Amino acid sequence: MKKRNVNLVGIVFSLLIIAYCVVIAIEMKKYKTGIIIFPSVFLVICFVSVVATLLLYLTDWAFLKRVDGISMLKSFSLSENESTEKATDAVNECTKRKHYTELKVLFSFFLFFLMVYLFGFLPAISVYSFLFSFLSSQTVKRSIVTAFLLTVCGYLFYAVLPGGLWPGVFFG
Amino acid sequence: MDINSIISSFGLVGGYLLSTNGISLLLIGTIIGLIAGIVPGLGAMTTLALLLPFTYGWGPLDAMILLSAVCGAVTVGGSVPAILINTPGTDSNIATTIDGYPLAQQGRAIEALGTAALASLFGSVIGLVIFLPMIPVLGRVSLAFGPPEVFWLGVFTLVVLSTVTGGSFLVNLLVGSLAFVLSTHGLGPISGVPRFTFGITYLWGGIPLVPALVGIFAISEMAKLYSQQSEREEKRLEIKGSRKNAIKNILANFPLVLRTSVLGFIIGAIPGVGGTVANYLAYGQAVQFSKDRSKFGKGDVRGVIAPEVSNNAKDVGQLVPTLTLGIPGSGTMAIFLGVLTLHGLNPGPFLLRDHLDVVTMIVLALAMGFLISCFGVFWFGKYLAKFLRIENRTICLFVVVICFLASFFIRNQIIDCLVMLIFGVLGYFIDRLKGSRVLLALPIILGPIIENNLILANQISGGDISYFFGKISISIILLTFFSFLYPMLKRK
Repeated sequence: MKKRNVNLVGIVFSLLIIAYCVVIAIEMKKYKTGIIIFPSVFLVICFVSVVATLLLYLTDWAFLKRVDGISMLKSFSLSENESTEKATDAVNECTKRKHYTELKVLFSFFLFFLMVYLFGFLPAISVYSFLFSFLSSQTVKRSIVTAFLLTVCGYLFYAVLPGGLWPGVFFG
Repeated sequence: MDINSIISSFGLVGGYLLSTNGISLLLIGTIIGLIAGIVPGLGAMTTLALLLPFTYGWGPLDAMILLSAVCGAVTVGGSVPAILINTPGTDSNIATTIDGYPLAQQGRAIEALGTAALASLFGSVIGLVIFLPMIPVLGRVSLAFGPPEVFWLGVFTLVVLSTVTGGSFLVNLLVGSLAFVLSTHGLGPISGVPRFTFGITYLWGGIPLVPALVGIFAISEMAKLYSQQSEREEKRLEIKGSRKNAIKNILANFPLVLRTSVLGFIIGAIPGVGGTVANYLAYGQAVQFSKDRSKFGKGDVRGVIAPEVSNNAKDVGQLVPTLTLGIPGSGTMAIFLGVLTLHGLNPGPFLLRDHLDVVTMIVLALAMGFLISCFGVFWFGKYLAKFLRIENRTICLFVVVICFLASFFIRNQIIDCLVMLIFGVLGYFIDRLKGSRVLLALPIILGPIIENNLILANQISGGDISYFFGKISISIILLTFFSFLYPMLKRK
């Protein structure tokens, strides 16, 4: 029996949105009808579509698949999705590796944010850009040049901004 | 709105554009746009999102000069890598690679670049020739819109963009409606009551527009760009050929130029249909109308002319729904709407009526951006190709650092950087689930305006529900149903 590919990312995403919808729906009770008409209209659409999306990911229901494939343009119709599903294992493996790299990069952006928050913009930019360049298989010399250029760029902002740049919780 | 007021507006705005300030911004914008187009992976959306914060505090006209010039130059610049290294600079240049790269391999790179530049120039000029007489008509149409119509237009935008942007309809609908809910965080319009703030003072101001846009369009894109290996070194070719042949190519294929311009303009005017569609359809059109199809794919200049003409005409066509209805023709246009909001202008049907100067500035600066960038690629394409040596990972690093600085720049709040990252991650996962990032950005821009109109309509009507169902409203509602039901029935 052929094993079905479960869209784990999609399921987690849908569950998070459902949780958000529930929180907003509970919060709505606190407000007068007049000011929640607009959000409630779109909350209902959001909830219906997220439940449908979740059902689609979990069950692969043919009807929902057809709804999901609604497109004004032929080029984006179901046939394209079907061909994607037929991708070979090698392609799947390559895509997985690509996604893993992308997630690592996104994670490094959050680390950068943490560095900025703790140590301020200028030290964080120098350290992060050096590490980023060096770990992206560039030479030490080139990494130092990149880090220097970006720190200068950061300093220009520091000079231009009336309030300066964020100094960091340690140095602020 | 009459012809005289439009002509005088063009005169005034043209004078401003030709001032030292105007020309400087125009040149800076064109150079940035060309580089962004040439470096694969940067593109118009990322560049505009990055530049957006720096225009904060400028006058709307100055901001429009810079951003329109960037917008015009990016598509033109995108043809350079498509021809020289078989990698499109932007999505709108994909079909150019089919014949552009074989031409470069045959030692006709300069001819191909020149042909692409001239084709782009003609595409944009013909697009503008179609668009300009439409302005008074569109102005009259927009005057017919009132608060209830604007509300229905918002719903229509959500549904129509969900069906035309491609990918998963359900994810698109989910993302669009989620973004509308997100746009309601903070002080409610007119009432001023804080909503869904959960006791967090930061949320009183709502979702900050600039960090959200930078995150959605730049951060998520950079994660993808990093994972793409740079293969440009191996593909580098010797750049040679004749510019004279480029002129001959265009003159010999003028009927094709005309046909694909009109096609590109029409596709651009359909909201949400991207440049890729215009590019491929124009290429297909060139093949279909050709008697000798044997050379296509092996280095036929018509295979460069058709896509390049159409993608520039498409850029002009996109102005129709964006400036008259507030429905963006593409992600780039969605950012344009963000710029308008950032400068205190309400995008939507009232823009033409209230800010004709801004509209004419967009048109003029876009035209000048096209003109200068086409000239740049035609004469200096060989030298511009040097930007292709920049590695993806270096671009990624520079863009991310500037994203952080730009997000902080607007309000001096470090939390804005975190918001940018959150939206970046959201944009990334939406992309992975085959949704459209434009649908995440647009409601954050338009949500408050649409809600304002809903509340206004409610107050004007005094509870009379029929006020919400005037002739135009019903037409929009029917169109909404049509755009949802037609593709569904068509596929049965």
